[in-house]
Amino acid sequence: MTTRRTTRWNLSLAAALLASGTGVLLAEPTLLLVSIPGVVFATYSHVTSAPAPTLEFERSLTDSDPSHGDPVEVTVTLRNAGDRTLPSVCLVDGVPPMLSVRNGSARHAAALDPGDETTFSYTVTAKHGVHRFGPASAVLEDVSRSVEVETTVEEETELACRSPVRTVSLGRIAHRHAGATVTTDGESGIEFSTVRSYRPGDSPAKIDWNRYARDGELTTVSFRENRSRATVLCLDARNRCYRSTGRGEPHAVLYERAAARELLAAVSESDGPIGLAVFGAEFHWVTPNTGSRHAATLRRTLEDGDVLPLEPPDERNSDEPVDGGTRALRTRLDRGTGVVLCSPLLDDGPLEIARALRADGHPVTVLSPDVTAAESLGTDLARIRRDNRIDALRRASASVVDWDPATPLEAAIRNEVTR
Amino acid sequence: MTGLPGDPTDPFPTTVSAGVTLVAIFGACLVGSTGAIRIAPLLVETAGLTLYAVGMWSRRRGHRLAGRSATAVGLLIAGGGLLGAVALAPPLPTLLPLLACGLGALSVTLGVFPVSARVARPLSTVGIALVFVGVTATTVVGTPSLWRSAVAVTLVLLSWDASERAIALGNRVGGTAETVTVELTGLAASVVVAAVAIALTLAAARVPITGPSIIGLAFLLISSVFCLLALTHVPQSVDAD
Repeated sequence: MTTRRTTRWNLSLAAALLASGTGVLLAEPTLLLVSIPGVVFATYSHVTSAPAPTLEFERSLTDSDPSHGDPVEVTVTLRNAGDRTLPSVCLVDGVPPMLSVRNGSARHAAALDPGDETTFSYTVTAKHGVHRFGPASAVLEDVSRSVEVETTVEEETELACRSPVRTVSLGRIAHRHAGATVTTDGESGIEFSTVRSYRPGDSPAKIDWNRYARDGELTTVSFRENRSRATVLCLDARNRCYRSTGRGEPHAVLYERAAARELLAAVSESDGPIGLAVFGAEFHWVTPNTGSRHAATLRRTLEDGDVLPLEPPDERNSDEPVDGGTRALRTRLDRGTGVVLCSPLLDDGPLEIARALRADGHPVTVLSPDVTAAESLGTDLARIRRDNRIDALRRASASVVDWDPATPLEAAIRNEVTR
Repeated sequence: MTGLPGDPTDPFPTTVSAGVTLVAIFGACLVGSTGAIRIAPLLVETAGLTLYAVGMWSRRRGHRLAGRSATAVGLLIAGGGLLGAVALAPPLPTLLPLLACGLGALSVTLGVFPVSARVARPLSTVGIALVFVGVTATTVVGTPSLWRSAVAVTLVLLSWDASERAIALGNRVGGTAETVTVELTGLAASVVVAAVAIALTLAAARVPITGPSIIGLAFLLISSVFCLLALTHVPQSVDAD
């Protein structure tokens, strides 16, 4: 809370001094007399007391679990719980940054007698993701507006606009191209695979000597490599991904975050460890693991404003090439780990990442929220280039989930899985 | 600085306080002036600026064509009134305060019903300062009765308070938000203070000052104390808890 005395009424005092000074100089008594109103107004500003911040605040939503694009009415009630009148209360509700106000205003002003309350409403358009309302900021003034008290009032409110993925697990999405047949690739693993008759050239280390001792028959045992079923969710949050279809619309990084959250919720028991990588101003990495505690860590990381800021990172870091992040990712991935890369595909960076990972033998699925718009020649060109990148990715044996955020995420995933 | 995060989409001065500002500033100009040669051009200008304000109000409510027409015609009438005053070629001591009041009223009107919210405060502050100078100059050269000068100066202060309220509320919550209760509460208090100021001025004028006067001495002492008290609060103090 901050209390501030304003200087506005000093002007009235200055006017009084100017009038009386001129009156003395010109020997004009009327001017001396007309300086009195200025002094009275200046004095008035000092006899009023600072308002006490005795506000009670309530916020309610008509629907706390809406679908994408649905209008949600937010009703705010402000009550003066004190025993003194609050002559001026200006309030701005803490609307989540990615929700746009469609109707009404999230700003309100009212004079409140003791026990009085005022209610106002506005409508926001629901967007994918979980949106938390921030504290409402209020400025209280005394009746002469000479003392300002800045304060905040808070009530936890959450608007969860979910697009759940129920029929496809994350493992199935990430390892679609890995195939269902287990191979004996390299025969260098530790998991028993097959036993067959000895052939000249077989390594003596693989001969079943116990069986030879028992039956006198030479046989060779082969083992298969233990292929990882781990999955890494990789989010492209570079500066150029903070693009949206229009003013007031969420940017692609918010859609990536919402999709990643839904994919985490779609983890089934048969899925292996899940990890997280973020390409942003810096490269962030969470090692794949299993368990509810690890899942909570991943969700927390997705909500972390330092890892995935809602505002674009500093312009100075915007042109950072993806090479460094790709190198860091490749060194951390185990063989066979599936990668789900979330990116709006607005440049060739994700293409480079996907090709490099495919070259290493990782199954790659690109989940791309479409934030291109058909508004002008420039935006049409951006859309065509994005379509070309999708084709290039498919030619490189990567799956691409082309997601129009106006449609459910699951429908887009099913379209790709059943291709 | 509004003390609130972000900016409203329509940070224009609020309508009720802006309307009171115009009433007070036109009242100050007309009450503070004497003689038909001063009052007639100001009346024409008042009519023009009122039409301009109605036009701006209509434009904000979506009646664009009617609003644009009214603002254009209003400005033409107001300009005509001022040019007419110059064309009449009154003596300079009469013309200068008249022009100060006329230009000041024009500036205040353009400030509280602005085309761009950015120019609201500079225009209204300059306008009110001009009207104040014009009214005090008329007090010296026009020798109106004391009550007229006291009312005129008080109305200038009232219009300044109302314009500041309109601009500050517009910057904080915008034109679409509900602000009427705050505006009426503050304006009612200011009107009461204005009435007290006028009454006190007229009462002070009745104090005999040609000979020794206890009441006069008391007034002098009280006004000195108030003046000192007011000065001790300059500049602003900031307390953060």
